[in-house]
Amino acid sequence: MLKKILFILLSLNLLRIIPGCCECDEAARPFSFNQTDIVNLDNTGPWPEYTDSDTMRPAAVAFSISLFDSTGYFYAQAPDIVTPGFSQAKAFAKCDCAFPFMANQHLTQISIESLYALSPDIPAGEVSGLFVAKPTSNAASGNLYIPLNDLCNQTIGKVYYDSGIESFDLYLKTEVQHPEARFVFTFTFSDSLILRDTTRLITIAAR
Amino acid sequence: MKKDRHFPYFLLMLLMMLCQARSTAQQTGFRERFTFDLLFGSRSFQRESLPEGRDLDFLNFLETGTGWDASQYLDLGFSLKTTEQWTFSTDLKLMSDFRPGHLGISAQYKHRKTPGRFVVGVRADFNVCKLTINQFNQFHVRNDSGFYADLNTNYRQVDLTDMSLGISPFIEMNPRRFHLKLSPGAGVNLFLPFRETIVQKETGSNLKREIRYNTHAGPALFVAADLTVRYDLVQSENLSLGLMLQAVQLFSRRALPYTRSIDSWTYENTVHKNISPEKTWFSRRDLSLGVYIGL
Repeated sequence: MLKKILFILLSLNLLRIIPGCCECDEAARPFSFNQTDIVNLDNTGPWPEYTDSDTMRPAAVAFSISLFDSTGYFYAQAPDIVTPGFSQAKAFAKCDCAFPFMANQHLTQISIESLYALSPDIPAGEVSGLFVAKPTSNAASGNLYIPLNDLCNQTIGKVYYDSGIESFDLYLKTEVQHPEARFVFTFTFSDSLILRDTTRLITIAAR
Repeated sequence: MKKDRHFPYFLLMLLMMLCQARSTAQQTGFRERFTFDLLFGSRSFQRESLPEGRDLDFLNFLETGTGWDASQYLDLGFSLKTTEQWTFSTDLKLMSDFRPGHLGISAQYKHRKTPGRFVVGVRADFNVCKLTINQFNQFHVRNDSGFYADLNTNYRQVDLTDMSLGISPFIEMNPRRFHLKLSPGAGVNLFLPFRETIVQKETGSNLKREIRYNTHAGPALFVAADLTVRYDLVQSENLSLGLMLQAVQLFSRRALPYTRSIDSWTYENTVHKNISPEKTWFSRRDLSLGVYIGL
């Protein structure tokens, strides 16, 4: 008799595994870029690192940029599945679904303006052509940098699997000969939205 | 990848030849003979390291990079004599770490009417030999000052596949229990191409560059000689068991040419250059001793 009861209980528990897989909704969640964030990068070593310092080497001026939705579409929690009287066998209490996101607009242009002269030959003003970019998402490929136009093109129809954040690094190709540097980044989107942000005042360290 | 593509064709070809030979054997009443060799041996090869120039020479970093290397192996040989004339053999050498280091396939034809006590014939061989190129990035570490010479901090090891196709006449003597076979030959060997990438970054700067190497086969002629001595300890119609010694020597003048592509900052302005390092002598010798059993 005991064996029969144990067998029935075991069978019921095994049945719980069948609906135990999470069924994540694969539909992309829409979001809109409306905020920017700029972090200084220390790129003197082999790999760039975030830094709180406002001092950079003349040939290693670099910034990390994030574009995102201020309402915070970083992560979407799956709705609980109600199964009264019959709990599912799952590794986690709730389904850990990483929802894909798709922005309502894409980048069309990145323009960069220097508030100080970079060298005697490069006065203050438009310096977009002196910057290159490196996407920092998991999907980014290649070891080198890409032109700013290519970065903009990559955001067309892009699905964000990690979170609703467009993140990339911007690197200045030329050596800054002025003791200070500061840049204004202007991001233009396909819906004519323009986001503008300014870096902190960067002190250029001696070589 | 190419190696994987070619190998099934060789197996298929060998199978077809075996099937054809078997049917001939059945018609003539000849009994097939199967021989299994188990040998322990030592392989050494020499390729003099050339002075370091402006361009990387991958063969300077062969194995230990000293120009001379030796390793031990366990040799498993299988041969099937399908008719009086035809014998097909495979030979697998497992290196000291039990990694397959050499695979050989051969087809041998004995001439029917040979005067005197000698037997002559011809043999065709196909061999695949594994070598490794180690820490070739040290070329950049030594030469690219001002840069993090290789952002890949892993041990840089490349499997180099050396393939050869050769033909060799042979002469065989069978005095009493001894069986001596000498086969001097020649052929073509080549390296299977591979790709490697070095990513560099200038110290204290944003400048990054990528160097890509796409190697070419670098075909070269070789001459080789193979001496096999067998001594039957047990000799009967259905069984032969004995000791065997095998020595193989190969000479070739070889280089590993490649195309080098360099990109700086972005992938927009690639600079390509075909580079052919100087050819120099490459030699390989195997010496092994073991037992065989023929059924």
